[in-house]
Amino acid sequence: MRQATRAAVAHALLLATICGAAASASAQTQDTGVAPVPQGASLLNPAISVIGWFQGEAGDQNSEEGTAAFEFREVEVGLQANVDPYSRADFFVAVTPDGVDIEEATLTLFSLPAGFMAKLGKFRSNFGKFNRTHPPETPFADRPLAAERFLGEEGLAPTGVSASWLAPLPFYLSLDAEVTTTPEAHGHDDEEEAEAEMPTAFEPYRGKDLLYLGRVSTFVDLSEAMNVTVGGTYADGANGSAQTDSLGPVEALRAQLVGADVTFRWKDPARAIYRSLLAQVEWMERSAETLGGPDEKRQGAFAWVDFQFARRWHVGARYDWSDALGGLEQDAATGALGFVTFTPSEFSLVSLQGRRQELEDGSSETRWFLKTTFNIGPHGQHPF
Amino acid sequence: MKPLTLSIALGVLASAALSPAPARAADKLSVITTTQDLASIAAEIGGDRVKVESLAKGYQDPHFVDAKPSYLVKLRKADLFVQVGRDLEVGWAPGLLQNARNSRILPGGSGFVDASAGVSVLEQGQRAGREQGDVHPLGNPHYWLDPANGTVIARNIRDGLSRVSPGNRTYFDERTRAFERRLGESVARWKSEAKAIGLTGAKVVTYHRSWSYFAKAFGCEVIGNVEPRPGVPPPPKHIQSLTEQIQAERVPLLIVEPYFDPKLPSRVAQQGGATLVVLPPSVGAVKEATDYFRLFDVQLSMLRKALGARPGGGS
Repeated sequence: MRQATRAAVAHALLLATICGAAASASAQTQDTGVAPVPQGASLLNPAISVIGWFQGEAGDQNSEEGTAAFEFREVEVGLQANVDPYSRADFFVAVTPDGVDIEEATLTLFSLPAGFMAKLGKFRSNFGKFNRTHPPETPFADRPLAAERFLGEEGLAPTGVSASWLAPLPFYLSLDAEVTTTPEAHGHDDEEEAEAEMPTAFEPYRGKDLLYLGRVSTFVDLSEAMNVTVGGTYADGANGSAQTDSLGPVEALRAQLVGADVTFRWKDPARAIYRSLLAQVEWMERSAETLGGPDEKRQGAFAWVDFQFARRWHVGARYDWSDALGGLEQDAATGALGFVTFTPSEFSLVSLQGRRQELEDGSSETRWFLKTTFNIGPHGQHPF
Repeated sequence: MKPLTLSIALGVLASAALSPAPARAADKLSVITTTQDLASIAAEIGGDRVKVESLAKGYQDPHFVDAKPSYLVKLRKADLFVQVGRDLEVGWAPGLLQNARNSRILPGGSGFVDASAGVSVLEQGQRAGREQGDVHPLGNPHYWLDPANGTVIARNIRDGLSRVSPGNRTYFDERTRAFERRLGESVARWKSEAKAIGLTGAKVVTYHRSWSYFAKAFGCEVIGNVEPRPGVPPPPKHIQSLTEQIQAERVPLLIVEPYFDPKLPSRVAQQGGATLVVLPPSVGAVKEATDYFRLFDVQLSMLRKALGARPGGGS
C-alpha cells in the first residue's frame, strides 16, 4: 500500500516533469523555429535530465522468477540546481517495472571551510568506486556478483549524512565518513517476497540501527595520460539479527564490511575522443557476528576493463567471484561478462553483452543482453 | 561504540563549519585557467604578481577534458579561476568547481571569471537541439580565435585580479593597457599579413565549427565543415557532397585541429584538391605556439606555407 502510494506520487511527479519539459520545448520552437535564449524565471528552474534504459535478455534462465525478454528497466529523472550560494540539491527518481524509488535526494554543502564538504539525504554510499554509479550509467547490463550480493540488487543507497575532507596536501587525498540508517536491502512490503530475496551485508534489526562508513582514497597522475585511484573502505552496521534473552532482543548483532579498490585509467589527452582504457578491481570481505558461534566471513571481488578502440566503439570484459551470503553455502560463484558497445553520440549507446555464471549448486547459466540507454536534457558532467 | 562514533562524526562536521580558512603562505596569487590561451593572457596581465596554471593543455580538445581529482588540489588553493565559458567546459568544469572546497572561485564569487563576458558571441540564439549535434545553446565558444577578443579577455581577467587583490589594481591596469597596445599593433600586422598571403577572401572548409571567429577576423569564408553536426562523425553522403563542393568552388584550404584524427579530413582534402592544414587552435597546441601572440604568428605562418604551396598561391 505504501509502495503504491509512493509510486502514484512519483508517477505524478514524473508526468508533471515530462509535461513541463514538453511545454517548455514547445514554447521555444514556436513560429521561427529558432530557440530563443531562456529568459527570466526559466533560468531558475532546475536542470532536468531523463535517462531511459531499455534492455533485451535471452539465454538460460535458471531462476524461477526470471525476467522478461524485453523490458524497460528504468527511467531515471534527475532534477539538479543550486539551492543558494552554499548548497546544491540533487534529486534522482528511478521508475522501474517494480515501482518507483528515490534513487538519490541530497543537499550538498559545497562551501564549507577547511576542505570539507557535507551531504545529507538519501545517496549512493561511498563504498568502493562502483557503488557510486547509477545503474543505467554503468557499462554493464547487470551488476557484478559481489556488488549485488554484498550491497544489494540496486547498490547501497542509505539515508543519512556524509562528510568529505580534502586533505591540504600537494596530492589528492580524501577522507569520507557517513552515518546513515541501515537500509532495507529490498524495500519490499510483501514479506514473502522479501524473504525470498538473498540477504546483503547489512540489514536493520530495528529501524534506528545505524550504518557507519569510513573511506580513504587517493589519486596519482602516473603521467599525463595515465593515472590511478586507490581506495579503502570500512563499514559497520546491523546484520539483521539480534542477541535475545527471555525478555526479548538485547542487542542487534553487527557486521563489518571492508573493501579495497584500484582504478587505472589511460587516455592520451591529444587523442582523448578516440582511445581510452579503464581497468578496475574491487574486493570486499564481510565479517558478521553470529549467535553463539564464530564470526561468519564472506568475500567477493570483481575486475573489469573497458577499452575504447574508436571514437564510437568500446569493448570490455568483467570477471566476478563471490561467496554467497547467509545460509550454509560456502562455495564461491564465478562469472564472466563481455561487451561490445556502440555510442552514436555522447547521449546514447547500444551494448551487446554475454555473461556466463557458474552458480553455487554446480549449474551454469549463459545469458545475452542488449542494453540501450539514452538521455535527454542539459549536458551533464562527463563521468570520471 | 555507536554513540562515540556518532559524536565523532558530528564533531567533525561542527569543526568544519567553525574552522577558519587556512592561512596562505604564497606571495603570488594563484590563477587557474581552463585553457592555455587564458593562462597566457592572465600571465600578461598578472605579471610577476601571479602564478598561472592551465588545467587543459592546448593540444587537448577543450570540450573533452577529464575532471581529474588532481585538479581539485590545484583549485582548492586558487585565488582566481578563469574559464572560457559559453558552455565550452560544461562537461568538466562545473563539477570541479563545486568539489574544490573553495567558495572564492565559485560562480558569483570574487575569484570567478567568465572570460566571455562582453564578447560579441557568434551563432547565438540559433536552434539548439540534440538533433543538431553537440551544440552550444549559448553561442560558439571559440571566441579567443579572434585576436581582437583578446582585449575583452584581458579586461575580464584584470577585473578579476583587481577584485581578489585590490592593492595591485594599478599594476594590473598598467599591464592591461600595455597588453592592449601590443595586441592592437599585432592585430593590424596579422590582418595585413592575412591579405598578403591570400587568406582574406579565401574560401575554407574546417573539420569542426571552431574557426568562425578566426574566419571573421581575417576575412575568409567557411563554406562547410567535415562534421556537419558538431561532435557527430560525418556520414559518407556528406563527405561526398563536401568533396564535390570543394572541387567546384576551388576551396584551397581544409583546416583541422591537431586533436582530431587527420585521416578523414586528409582524404577529403586530397580528393577535393585542397591543402590540409593541421592548425593549432590554442596556445600550446604545437610547441612553437608558446603564448597568445605566438599562436597567431604560428597560424599565419602555417597558412602562408599552405597557400604559397599552391599554384597561384600567395607569397
